[in-house]
Amino acid sequence: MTRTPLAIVIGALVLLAASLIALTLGARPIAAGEWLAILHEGRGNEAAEIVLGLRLPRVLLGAMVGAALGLAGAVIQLATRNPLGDPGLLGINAGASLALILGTDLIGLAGPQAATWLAACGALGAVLAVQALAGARSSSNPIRLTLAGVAITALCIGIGQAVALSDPERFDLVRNWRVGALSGATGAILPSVTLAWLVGTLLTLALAPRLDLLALGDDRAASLGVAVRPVRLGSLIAVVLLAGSAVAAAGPIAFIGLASPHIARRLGGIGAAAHLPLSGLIGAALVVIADTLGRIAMPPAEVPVGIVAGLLGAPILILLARRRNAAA
Amino acid sequence: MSTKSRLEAQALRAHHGPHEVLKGIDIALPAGSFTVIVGPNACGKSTLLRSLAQLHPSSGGSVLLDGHPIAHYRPRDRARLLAVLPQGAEAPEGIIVANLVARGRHPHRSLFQPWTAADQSAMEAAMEAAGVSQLAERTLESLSGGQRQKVWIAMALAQGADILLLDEPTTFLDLSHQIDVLELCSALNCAGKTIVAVLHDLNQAARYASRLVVMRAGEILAQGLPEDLLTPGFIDEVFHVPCIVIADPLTGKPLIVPKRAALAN
Repeated sequence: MTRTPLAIVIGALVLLAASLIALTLGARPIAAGEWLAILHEGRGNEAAEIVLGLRLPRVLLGAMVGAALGLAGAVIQLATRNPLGDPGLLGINAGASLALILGTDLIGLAGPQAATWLAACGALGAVLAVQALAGARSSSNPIRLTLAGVAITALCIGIGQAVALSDPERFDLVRNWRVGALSGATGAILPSVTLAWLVGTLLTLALAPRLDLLALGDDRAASLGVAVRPVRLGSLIAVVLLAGSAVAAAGPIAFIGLASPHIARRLGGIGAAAHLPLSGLIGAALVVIADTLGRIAMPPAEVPVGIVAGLLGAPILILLARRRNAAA
Repeated sequence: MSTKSRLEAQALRAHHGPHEVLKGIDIALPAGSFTVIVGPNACGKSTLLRSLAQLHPSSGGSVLLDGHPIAHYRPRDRARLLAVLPQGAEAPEGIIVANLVARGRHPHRSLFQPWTAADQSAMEAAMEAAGVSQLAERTLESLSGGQRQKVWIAMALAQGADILLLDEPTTFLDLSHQIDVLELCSALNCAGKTIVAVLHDLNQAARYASRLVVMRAGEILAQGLPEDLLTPGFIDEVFHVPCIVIADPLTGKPLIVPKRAALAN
């Protein structure tokens, strides 16, 4: 039980290091001397504008999106006892993305804040569709759930592509909601994204001890005094809010939700309640790192973070699948 | 044995979909008893256990825990009185024994409350009582089936409940581990726990149970002392196994010896 606070500290340090690197590297690298100047004088010179004005908001947004995805993945994995749980693989991100693509007119009318709630509705729709497709007893069969998720993802992406391609004006509007990128978020959407993120995160942390017991099976959790249905419902709301805020801010980014909880487990052991916060910290660090890689990989072009995450995440998925096969 | 019953069901009914699995069960579990439920496959044994613990919704009748309707208890309060070991153990990959047993403390802890000395000593006492103290740092996967089952029992003990409901605790174990687990249950029963277990082996049931409950097709056919119930005629009627019953040379309890069809007559 002593490993857990240490693991949280390590996770926070990794995120801090990744953020500092992200602030330093880029088309215009920041030298050590310039860092000192920024720390002493604050804003005013060119380097400070780049760091504080351009890169810091992007790092903060990336960390928020990554934490949301890491937490959502960890919640799904615990609640469904599915080691392949991920808002990307289960169609939740794709559902949120599709809702945004279809809802551009609505967002135009209601203002940018509406995007977050629309994305959350899309995420909820996808969750319900996946569960209906997988059948009532899907919680006992992770394969069915994953297959249903893949099917719903394909369907949502297909519809989204068709709609976007048929309408050039919309195509431009929704570019960032199709691929997953941190460059496109406008400040206007931030209040609702932050609110949904905050509520989702707090709800997740409040549910953490019970989610931890749900991983032992519904019967065992219930016999330990966990009210299984309310906890499931709470996790559903948390996942929908977290995935909705992440997709509204940065579009669908896969694999972060899958990888973070597994890395957290390696780092922190299975120390009960610390698993969720650690998954969030690692998700945040992964997105910040992936975004930095995307910015410096092929200048002057930027590779969107969604694509970098896919390139880094696919091998992780294969590794996990192979390890489970070997274990079985 | 005290006659006060800790757990009691009256006219209890339950369904699986449209199928009625429990057809009005009346059962009372006295404090300090070791009750074993036996019966042919799919007779409703597990559903009865799960319904008694509110893990399966009942569709009629009532369950009383210490004289009060069990549905009136908060789940957490119920968990302090009654622990269940359902079938089908699942545990997160790589979990170590001490951490699993620690999770049994859930009903005694509130949100964000740190792990207390009382939690620690309850956890250690539970592992000691279940005989798994020396396995504390091992991962669950590295243990044998029998050791795992004892760890799950330790977790139920950490819960601090006086009543233990065990659903087929010996299934899939080899003989020596079956005996290990049953001896542990018997020791816990002597230490004051009220135990209810679903078992398949009639001879083991006869040997360890202070009360036997025989079910068939969603109903209780008979309940009472094993030596009163287990007669050749009754066993043939319920399980369709012609047999003779002799006295166990060690315990004097009934010992069932099935006849072989080829050697009949």
